Amino acid sequence: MTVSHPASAALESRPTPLLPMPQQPANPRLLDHPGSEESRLEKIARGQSAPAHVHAEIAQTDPVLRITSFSLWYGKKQALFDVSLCIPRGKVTALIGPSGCGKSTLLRSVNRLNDLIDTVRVRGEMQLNDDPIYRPSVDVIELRKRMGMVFQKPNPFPMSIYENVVYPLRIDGERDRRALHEVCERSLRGAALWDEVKDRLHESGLALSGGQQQRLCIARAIAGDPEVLLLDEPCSALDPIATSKIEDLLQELKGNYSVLIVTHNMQQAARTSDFTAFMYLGHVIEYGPTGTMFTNPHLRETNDYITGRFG
Amino acid sequence: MEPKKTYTGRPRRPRKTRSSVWLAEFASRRLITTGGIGTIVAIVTVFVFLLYVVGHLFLSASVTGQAHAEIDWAQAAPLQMGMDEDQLMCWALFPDGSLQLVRLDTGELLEKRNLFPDQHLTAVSFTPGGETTALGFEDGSVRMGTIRFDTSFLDPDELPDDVRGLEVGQAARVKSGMVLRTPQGQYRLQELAVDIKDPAKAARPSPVLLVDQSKTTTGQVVTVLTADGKLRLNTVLEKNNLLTGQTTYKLSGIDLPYAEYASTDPPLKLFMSALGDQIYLFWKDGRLVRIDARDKAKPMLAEVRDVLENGSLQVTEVRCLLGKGTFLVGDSSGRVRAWFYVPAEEAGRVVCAHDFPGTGAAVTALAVSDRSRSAAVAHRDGKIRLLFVTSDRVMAELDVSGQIPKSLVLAPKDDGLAAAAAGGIWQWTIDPLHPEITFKSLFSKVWYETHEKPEFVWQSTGGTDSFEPKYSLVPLIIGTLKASFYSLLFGVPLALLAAIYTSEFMHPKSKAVVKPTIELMASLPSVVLGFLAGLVFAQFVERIVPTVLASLFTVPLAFLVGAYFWQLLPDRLAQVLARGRFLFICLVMPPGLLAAIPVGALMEQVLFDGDLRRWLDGGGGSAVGGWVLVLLPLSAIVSVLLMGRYVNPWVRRQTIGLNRLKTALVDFGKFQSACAGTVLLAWVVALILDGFGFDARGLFLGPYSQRNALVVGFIMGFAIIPIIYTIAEDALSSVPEHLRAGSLATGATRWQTAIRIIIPTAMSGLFSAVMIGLGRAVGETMIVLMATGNTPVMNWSIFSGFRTLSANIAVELPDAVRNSTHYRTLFLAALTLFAITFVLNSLAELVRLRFRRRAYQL
Ligand SMILES: Nc1ncnc2c1ncn2[C@@H]1O[C@H](COP(=O)(O)OP(=O)(O)OP(=O)(O)O)[C@@H](O)[C@H]1O
Ligand SMILES: [Mg+2]
Repeated sequence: MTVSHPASAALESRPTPLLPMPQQPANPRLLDHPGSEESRLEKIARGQSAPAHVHAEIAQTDPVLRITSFSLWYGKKQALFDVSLCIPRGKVTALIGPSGCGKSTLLRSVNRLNDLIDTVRVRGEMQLNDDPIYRPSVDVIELRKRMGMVFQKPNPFPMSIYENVVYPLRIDGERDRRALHEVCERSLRGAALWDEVKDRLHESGLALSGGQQQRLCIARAIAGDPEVLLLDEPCSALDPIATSKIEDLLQELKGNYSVLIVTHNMQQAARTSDFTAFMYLGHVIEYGPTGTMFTNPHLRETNDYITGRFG
Repeated sequence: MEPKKTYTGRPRRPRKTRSSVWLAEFASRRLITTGGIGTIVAIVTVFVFLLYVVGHLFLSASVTGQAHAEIDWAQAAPLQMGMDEDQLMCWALFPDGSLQLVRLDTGELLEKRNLFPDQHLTAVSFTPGGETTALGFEDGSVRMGTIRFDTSFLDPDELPDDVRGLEVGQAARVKSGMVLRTPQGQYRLQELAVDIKDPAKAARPSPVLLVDQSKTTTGQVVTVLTADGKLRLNTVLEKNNLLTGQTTYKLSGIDLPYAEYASTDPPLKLFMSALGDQIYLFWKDGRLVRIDARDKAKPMLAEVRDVLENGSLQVTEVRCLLGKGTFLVGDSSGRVRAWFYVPAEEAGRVVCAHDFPGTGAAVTALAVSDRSRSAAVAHRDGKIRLLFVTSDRVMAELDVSGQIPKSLVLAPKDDGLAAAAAGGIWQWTIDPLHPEITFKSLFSKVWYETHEKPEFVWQSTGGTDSFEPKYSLVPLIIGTLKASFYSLLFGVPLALLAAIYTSEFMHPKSKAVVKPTIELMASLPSVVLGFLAGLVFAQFVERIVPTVLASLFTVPLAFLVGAYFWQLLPDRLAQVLARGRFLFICLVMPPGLLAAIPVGALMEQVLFDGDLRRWLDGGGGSAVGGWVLVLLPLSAIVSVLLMGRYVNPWVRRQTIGLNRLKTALVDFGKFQSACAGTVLLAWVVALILDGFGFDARGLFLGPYSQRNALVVGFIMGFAIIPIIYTIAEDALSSVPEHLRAGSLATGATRWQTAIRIIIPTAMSGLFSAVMIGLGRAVGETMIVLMATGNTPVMNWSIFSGFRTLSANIAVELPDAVRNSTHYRTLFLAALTLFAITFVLNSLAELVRLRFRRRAYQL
């Protein structure tokens, strides 16, 4: 059976996995619905709910970000359904799932950027280091300063490359030129852009290529020293070399920072992340350590997704 | 063959573009091109038309015809000549009292009479523009009279055949005058009309040396200098004998202080002012004596000066210009200077306002126009110059081929000139065009009659015929700029802040109401706004000036205080109330306005010595108050900048870790001290400025007139707000959402996002908005027309009225005679307006493109 997807084209370009992928649901632990052939995905597609399958390892981690039964509506249309996730501290967590399943929405909910859209209503709670995110009393500005975000589409500001990078410091009123320059260089090196732009730091950030712009945005996000880095398909516009540099950056950041990364690139998820969550139509289907998720997923649906087949 | 199946199942899409599409493409391209070119052509046409009308102003006068007729006038030079309107004839009065009428084209003597067979003429005075002549005689009597041409139209049926057969433009002798066939086909007769009244006997029969007369409101006055050294100011008493029907005249008057000069050579010329209150005596050696007879009981010798300032020269001729205010003094070097009396409270003085440098050949004759400030001057070398005094312009140079012109006359309409010399009479027809206008008279200071110093003045019409038109565009340009400045000062900050607020801060639901409402304001016709401004608002403001001034400060302050109070609200409450924030802002306004009443009163008490109006008029109180008022906004800006630069980082370091309420309290304290600092700074600077003797009165403040720049600023600001707001709001809203999100995601506040990202990105749009507002303000007519007094005064005082170019055109064009100087100058005003807007728009476009380049590729 085939479930129709809003953008199944995204799956077609999926590269072959690096890791050996199980071709059959041979794993004895693979859970199926008792006594039923019907998959969770079909149930969800029909509008029923299906509980997420969360691996036991998750419970042992120290969560930096805790999402509890979070639901979100764009007007009347519900985009997230009772999402519960614990993002472990100092680790890279990947969000995978077909296009339109709500990955970006979830990411934007974490730093409350969805507040900008006035039709959005939410229910549920999130906590960053045990500080509530969705409370009326929360200082959203402070909250956002604790997170850095890279958007799906590159969005450099119409100012110089240098000013783009140091923007988070500028708004904090930092005036020390040496400090600014240091941060600028470090961030640009981290984002694998330094060598390309070091001679033209004061030219417009808009004069860069799409991939360079995206790396500029990554540099901007890390310049603010966030606790949590939210990356929405940061490498979708990058060539393999830049991609691998960004992946190196993730490895470097790991430990000090917690990273939540959305990606359509299974290899990337497998290579860079410690944990992976699989989402489908606004629901979390399965969430566990990356190794297990890619080699031994508990659910057949996850297995089908990462191997490129549904149902 | 089975048709090839396509993916969509439809028949294969035609690759060829349909002809209708081509046609539409072609048509639209042509239409757009035509439209574009049409627009450009229309604008260029308007421009060319304006240029065409205006161009005449700068052309020089042209001599269109010249004639010479031999007349034997060798015996003496005429004392005075007169020409008829059609430039057919000329009369000449000779020293022996004979009057001759000659044809100008042939030199034929039409008539000769001796006016005073039993009297000996010794002095004459002719007044330009006025018809009355005063004649003095050896027996000490003075006669008034007129010598002029009478115009009448003849009935063709009563004309002899040879006259009836005249071609248009031809003239023939009829009776005692000449008939001209006018272009309308009429037969116009010009006849000499001489009417000399009976002699007015003086008390002492001493020969009259010099005489001048003026027709004042109280009657005719005559000043007479007699050979016995008496200078008398007389009124002419007229007595009708009811029995005989005869009128007798008598002079009765006062002696003027002249004893000092009685024994010297008699003066060359005697003049009295049009009001009869100043008497001027010119001597050959350049001495000028002015006698002030304003106080008839005590006339006094007011001024003696040298009008030549060169002992080796001699005054050869003096004439007074139309209006009897300005005296043209020609000397033996050929230089002609214009002098006039500048009245003043204590000591008025005679000044030289215009100077036509000499040619080396002495001035032999002067003639003045009866309708303008032009004059003709003849030189010993036969050159004749046609001058326009007000604009210092030499209109034409003519020549009588080596002869010495002895007498000159200008045609009544300034369109001709005749000169008498030994060889006969020379005549020129002239098209004077517009000698009043030069670049200098339009754009730089001109010294007008009775003005204390050279000034920029626009005054195109006056009450009397002898009025001197003043066509300086500068006051109008300043008025236009002033109106724009004050309305932008009021409108731009309000409109831009409103746009920023609605696009960046306002809840979309409120925005959906507010934006169309403001845009609706644009549909208010400006005539309604002008009406409100002039008749309602101006009067309202006039009653509460201090309150209005205070509200300029209290209302913004109220908003700020409100904002700080908002910060003091507990988190929960603030969050709950967040949606009603706009309502809260509206609630803050009335207290701000109310606070203006006591603050205004206090301000008036402290700054303006208790009475603002009196202070503005220049009375009471030091200049400090005004400076404080003017400097407050500036010092507010300075203190905001200083705060941001030095205080804020320090405060931030100190308040790290404080909770929201405490931070808000610190913030509030900071705000209060900033306010205090602002006032203090303004006060200190005001004290310093006052110490150096500067006074804002005369610069930005001045006597209060009911319809003033403040009122116009408010109302015109109101008129330009919608357009600026709409364009600015659109520009801000069209900044891509992903930039906003990107900035907010880094933890920037909405305000930081607005200042650092949104506004710079939308800068070109914001700039266009302001420029379009400026364009509207510059061209706006109705509001300024109705809400200012339309007095073309020139200053930057917010409390005085002004006249703009556009309002000036609207006010005066209906009354301007087509193709007159006035009419063309109004077109020049239009062209100037056009140029101003053109330059502004071009500059704006350049700046906008710069901004645009900076924010490209979005
Ligand atoms: N501003 C919005 N208003 C209404 N619906 C929205 C809005 N943004 C996203 N959605 C809907 O919410 C759902 C989730 O969108 P989201 O952008 O989170 O998908 P995604 O998982 O990031 O997809 P992709 O992998 O293609 O980026 C989609 O069905 C989308 O149509
Ligand atoms: Mg997405």
